[in-house]
Amino acid sequence: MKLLFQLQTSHDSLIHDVSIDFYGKRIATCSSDQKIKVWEKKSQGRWVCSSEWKAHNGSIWKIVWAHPQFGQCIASCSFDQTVCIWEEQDEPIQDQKNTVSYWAKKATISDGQMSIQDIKFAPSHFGLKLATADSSGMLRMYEAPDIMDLSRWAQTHEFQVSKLCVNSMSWNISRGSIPMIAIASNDRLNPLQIWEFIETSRKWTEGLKLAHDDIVNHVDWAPQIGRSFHLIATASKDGKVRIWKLDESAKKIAPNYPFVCEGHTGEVWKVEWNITGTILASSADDGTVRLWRADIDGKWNCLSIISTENKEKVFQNQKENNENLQLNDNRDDQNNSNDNLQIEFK
Amino acid sequence: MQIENNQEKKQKQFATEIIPKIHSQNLNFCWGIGNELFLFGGSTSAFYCPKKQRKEINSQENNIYILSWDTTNNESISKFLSQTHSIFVKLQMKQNQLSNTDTLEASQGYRIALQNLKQNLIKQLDESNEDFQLNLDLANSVNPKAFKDEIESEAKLVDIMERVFHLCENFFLLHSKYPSFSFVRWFQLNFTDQLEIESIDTESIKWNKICRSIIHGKFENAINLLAKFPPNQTIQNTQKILQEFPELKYQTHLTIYRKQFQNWRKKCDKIYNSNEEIKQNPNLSAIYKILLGDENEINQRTDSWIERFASKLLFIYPNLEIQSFGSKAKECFTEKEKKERINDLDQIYLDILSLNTSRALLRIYSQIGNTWLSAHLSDLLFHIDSIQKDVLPTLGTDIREFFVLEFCQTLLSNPSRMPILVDYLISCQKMGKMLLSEIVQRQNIDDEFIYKKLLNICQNNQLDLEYKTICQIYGMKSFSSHKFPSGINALLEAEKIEIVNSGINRFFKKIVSEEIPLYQIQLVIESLESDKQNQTSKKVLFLKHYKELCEYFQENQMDKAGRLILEIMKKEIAPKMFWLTLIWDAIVIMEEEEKKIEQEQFQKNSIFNHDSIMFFLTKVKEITSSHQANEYTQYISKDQLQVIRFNLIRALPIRIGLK
Repeated sequence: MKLLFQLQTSHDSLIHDVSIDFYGKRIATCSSDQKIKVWEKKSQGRWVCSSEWKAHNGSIWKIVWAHPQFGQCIASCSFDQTVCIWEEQDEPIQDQKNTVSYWAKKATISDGQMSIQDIKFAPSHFGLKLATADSSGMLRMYEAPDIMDLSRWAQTHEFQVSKLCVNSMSWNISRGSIPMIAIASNDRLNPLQIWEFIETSRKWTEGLKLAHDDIVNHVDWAPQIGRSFHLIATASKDGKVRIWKLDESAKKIAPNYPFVCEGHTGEVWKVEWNITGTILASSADDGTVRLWRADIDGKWNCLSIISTENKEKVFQNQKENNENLQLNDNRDDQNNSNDNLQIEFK
Repeated sequence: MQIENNQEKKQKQFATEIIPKIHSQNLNFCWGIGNELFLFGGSTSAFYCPKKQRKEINSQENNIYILSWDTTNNESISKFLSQTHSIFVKLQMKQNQLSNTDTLEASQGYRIALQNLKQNLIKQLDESNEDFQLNLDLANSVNPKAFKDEIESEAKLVDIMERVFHLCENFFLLHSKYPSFSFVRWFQLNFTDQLEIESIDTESIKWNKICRSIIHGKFENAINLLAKFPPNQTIQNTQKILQEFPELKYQTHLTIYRKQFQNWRKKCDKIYNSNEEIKQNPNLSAIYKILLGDENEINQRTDSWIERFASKLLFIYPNLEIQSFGSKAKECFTEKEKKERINDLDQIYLDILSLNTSRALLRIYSQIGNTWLSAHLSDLLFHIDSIQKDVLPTLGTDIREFFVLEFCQTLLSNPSRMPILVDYLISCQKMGKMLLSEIVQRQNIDDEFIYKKLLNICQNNQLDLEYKTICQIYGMKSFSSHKFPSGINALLEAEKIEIVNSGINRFFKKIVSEEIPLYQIQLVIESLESDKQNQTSKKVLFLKHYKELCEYFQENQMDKAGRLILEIMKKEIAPKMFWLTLIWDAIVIMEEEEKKIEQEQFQKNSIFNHDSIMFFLTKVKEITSSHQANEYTQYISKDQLQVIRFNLIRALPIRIGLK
């Protein structure tokens, strides 16, 4: 692991979210200073701020990019109970051939009366749709019928998923599936839910139930990329990362799942899959970010630990977590007749 | 060569220290594309952050740290990847017609590339010692010593990779019918040096070197070393027996060889038993014992199982069958070695010798952690049917595809690797194609050249959906940059007619609000005319008329302009957003007409009669009372609207009686 670049954001307050665009060339940051900043990647890996503006009247919790097939569009949600839609526009400079780009607010969505905790654009093959979740457990879906006119958003669905705060949502992005969304909330009785859209009734209903021991702070649905199963990861208050393996229709949980990835020593706040859905990253109150990957036998091992502590402490943690590092070690049988690497072929 | 303990290696490789002042309790992150991670401190719990806390926040805590584990950024490695990529592609192209020569060439090509890489890395290391300079703007945690360590470590790894490749090449490709020969040759090339007797060597060291040469099967070397001793009959006989050793060569018939070996062994035995000098000389005795396959002697004189096994293949079981290689190799471990942990690399060699290539590859992947080696070796073995081709249930794909895809992951983070990446992904069936579709879409379309290139890739790989997505992305991008013709073309290609219609509306808004050169309108017309399904025919018609109208105005042909305005409004060709603008233009023409009316020249040929004025008034009312009135009236000012109303009402009585 190498530290490539240190980006000084100059936000006046805590950064709550960083979102990278579809191409990995731009990032958007949002903060408690009520500002959004957009950064562009230049040559030699440098990042430069291209735009900055005051976007809300409260702390901005989340920021997301729409798929570029809908143009350059960002959505942000805030403590001020609103969701704003921003579109990048080019304006020609007078008497010059060049244009200058700026971010214009196209719409403000303010249906709820609570802090909007999370927003996520739906997979692009469903059109330009946005899901919002607030701290009262209400989920709302919006659609922009004309992608050339982002000032118009119609609310298509509204339903209560929890009586308590929704912390996070994640769409199933694979094509060929019906619209499905995983929801994490503070409801201890039902902190993890999958909701699916039933075409016949045109309604969202709760799908497969995933029993979870504690509050789920974050959930992420992995990109499927040709696999015949789905993976969903959760970050939990109990300090554990869990990985759920579901069948192709997301109706059944695979045997021996959820897999519990132990190692963090504090509340886990976030989990996120990489773009191929093969490596999972998790961050926790123990000040570490851990990377997890499955081995050939389907067991999830800690691939890497990124820490803010000094190296000695990391090695100490590593020793303590040794049992969790499932490395193929041939200590037992010198004759190799029963090797750790057992492969089963069909 | 020992691979360092895997755990420690991983700790050193992956444990990274971030600048300590980041708020460790709220370490947050997001993934970049490929193997990039963006780390930042901040509240991960979405609660309101009190003002007090805000003031206390150190500015450094609002930094974002971008990490990556892209190891392919090194220049030497880049060259290496390009070289081996060509070999890989060639193998795939010849897939169904691969001969042994082709696969052997490929294997040798890979090994040459590995050797070149090692030399380049060493050269890089030497150069860096003189003048260390990084290409990237790295943070404080990277320093020259770390760079040096990394290069040295890479060079060692390359050595290992080359040996593993060489063993497989010898065993499966080059001398597959002669496994003993394969292994001995491999051993000789990778583990032995040419020994020379130095003037400072003691007697025992000299004899030791001779014994070692014989154990390693380097008989020429042993003969030359013996020649350094004072010549006598015994020495000469020994040299002769070494010369006569029936070395198994490529294409020697095994039955013939077996007989030759037996005859030679008998001769050797006869010399040993009949010559007292040999029996009494411990050094000569040792030599003959080795030649006669004395296991104890061989074990005493060898340091490692590989050395032991090679010697036994030479002197004890030269015709060993390939199926027995694994078990015989394991027998070469001493009791002490068996008690200690067998290192990862030895495990890999043993797996290869046991013909368990899948397990060897799995070890390479998990113990060495090098995805290049596992990908290319599995691909090579796949082509010669020396690897399992079944689907792994835990992964949903076969072992070769799994490793190639894992290798592709390492290429992901570097955008310059895209052309290479595409070829590797194409070689994989289902999952490769899915990943390819994802990667292709994530290429930033900076210009038309890249756009066309991506479309080409999609067409060549039957990625129809991705083709349309890329067209749509380019179309939207063009629209936002006001490049309407290319935007329309791209969206028509994407078959997104509803977006095209919206885009044209955007163009209309531009026309109605600013002066657009006529050639731009013509370009848009041409783009729309390429719509074979004619779904935008009405809009095309309006644009044509509008262009015509602009030309009439430019040429001061007001009567024609007036007639055209009436036509496009009466036939409802003009969109509503243009109505007021067109009516305004009509009023200008009317004023001209009125001058002619005063001059009594226009009575017979008036364009705008009473009915026309009433028509315009109706349209004004329709627009201003519509629920979208604001939208349609935004292109003219309130004053202009008043002027329109006033002039129309004023013109009514003037036009009474005009036909």
